[in-house]
Amino acid sequence: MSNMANPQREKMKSRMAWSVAIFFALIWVVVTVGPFIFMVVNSFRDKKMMGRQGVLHFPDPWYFQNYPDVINNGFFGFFFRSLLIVSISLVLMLIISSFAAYPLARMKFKLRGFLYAGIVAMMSVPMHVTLIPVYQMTNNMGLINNLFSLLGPYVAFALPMSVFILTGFMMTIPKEMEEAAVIDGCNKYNMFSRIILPLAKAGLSTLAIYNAVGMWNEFAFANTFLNDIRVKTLPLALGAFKGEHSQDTPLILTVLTLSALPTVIVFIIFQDKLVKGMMAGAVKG
Amino acid sequence: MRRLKSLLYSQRLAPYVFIAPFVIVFLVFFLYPIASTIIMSFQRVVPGQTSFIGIDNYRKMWNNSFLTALKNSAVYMVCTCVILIPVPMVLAVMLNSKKMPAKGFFRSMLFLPALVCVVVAGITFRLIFGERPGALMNSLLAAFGAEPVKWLGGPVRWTTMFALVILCCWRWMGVNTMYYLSALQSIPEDLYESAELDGAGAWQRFRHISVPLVRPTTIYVLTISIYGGLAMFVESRMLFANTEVGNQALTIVGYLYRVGIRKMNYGLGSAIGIFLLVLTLAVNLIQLILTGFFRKE
Repeated sequence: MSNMANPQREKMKSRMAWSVAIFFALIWVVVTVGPFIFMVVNSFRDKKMMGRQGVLHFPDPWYFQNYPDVINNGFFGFFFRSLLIVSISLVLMLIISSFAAYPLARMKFKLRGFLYAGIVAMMSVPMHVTLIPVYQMTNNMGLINNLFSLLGPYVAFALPMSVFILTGFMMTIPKEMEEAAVIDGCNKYNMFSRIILPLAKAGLSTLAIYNAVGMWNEFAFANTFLNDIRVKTLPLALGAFKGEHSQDTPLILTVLTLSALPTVIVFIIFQDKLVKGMMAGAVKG
Repeated sequence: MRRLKSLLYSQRLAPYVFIAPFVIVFLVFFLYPIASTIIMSFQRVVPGQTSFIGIDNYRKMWNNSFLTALKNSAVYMVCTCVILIPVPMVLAVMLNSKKMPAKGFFRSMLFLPALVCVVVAGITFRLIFGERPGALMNSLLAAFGAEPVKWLGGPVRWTTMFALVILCCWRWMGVNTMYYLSALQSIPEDLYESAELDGAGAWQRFRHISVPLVRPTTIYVLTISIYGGLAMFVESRMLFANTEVGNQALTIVGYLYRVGIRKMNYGLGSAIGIFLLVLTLAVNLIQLILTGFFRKE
């Protein structure tokens, strides 16, 4: 009853609460964006000026030489190796997961429950547990320092979550289309490629973006399998640059800025899809 | 040939044909490694003369470094869970409200850090939390007239953990907010409207409608936070410039990496891995029981 009795006061209270809430949201935005600004702004600083000017002022003068320095030091090699391994892993992962999700979503078979439970269990296995045996396996096959040794782990660790999400997604596709196709004499394989796959495109593309970010940024396995500077991926590039220029903070920040750039650009282009993908990933009970 | 074809097309076999590639990957990269880890954890692994040594690895594992790592991982996990569930929930309620200005802007800004590599984030934060007076955090402290602090590996125990938790919150706040936002959007509007007509204030609506109805999301976020918290490694490694992480930021996986990969003690490393696996599963199981995940509604 109170808010009926005194609407004026209620309005004031609500406005106050909102001001406080927006104030805190703005603070969090500053915390979120701060490191990015720090990273980008200081990459345009001459290393000698860093100590003298501190980090709170803008560079004076702006110094652009760090970028050519990094790019001429083999930055694109790291970049293209990352691009290569991520694209191949991604395509393989999407094929395998959509293949697996289809029967889980649409067919009745004996091991269905068992396999589904297995996938859920796999999602909670910390992948680092498998680091030593997979390293041994790679070593025995002579694949250490081979970029493609990462293919297996990258596909494997993206799979459980992807199959889980895709299965949920495929369950929401209306059954009528398939029933009509069965009447027309369509077999399971044609049904999959002609009906289910095109309809699951939205799910697949969000999964692709979501997992691409994860693979692009993966460090632990890449760092274990690739020791040779000539085969390292982008997240390891920092180690490479760090060794030579350990005191050159602006140069390190330049490498950081350049390696963050692709994901940020992808984010700007695919923003809506990515957010929807994240939402699809959230389990609904 | 014809029989093979009809077999492949049969109702009974088709599902298994589809699922076979997945099962192969599962066997090679999950089942075999985990089985092999379990076996190795009871062995002394030396090329050519590997032998079973019972539970010696588990006994050896229980030393001071490991206990420190265990404590660090546990503290980190608890801190991140305590922050990264309620705060995103409130942020999501704000972003879901009609009154909120510039929703798209806030949403994008919050989400941005999640895309950045841990390495990038870690090194940026290392420089921000640098010990020199000119580093960002110390510059800010100086602006308020405070003395510079040696944040990472310094004499005060909590500063390293503070930097780690801030790094984690920075990266995951937006993602968790997004999870909650999607859950909130599936709650029908008229629930709130009728509650408002009955005189429920904003807090009561939040407490009695939003919180219970996003429970599945809370369970999900809690599950991945426990997993991520206990398995954290790269963040702590990146915060330190030298490859050897100080004990102040040593985590379970960090210790596994140090023992198993760097010192090539596969047996001991495997024992740590199995411990981590059991710990993660146990904590999550307890959590799922407590949050009523298995209760049928």
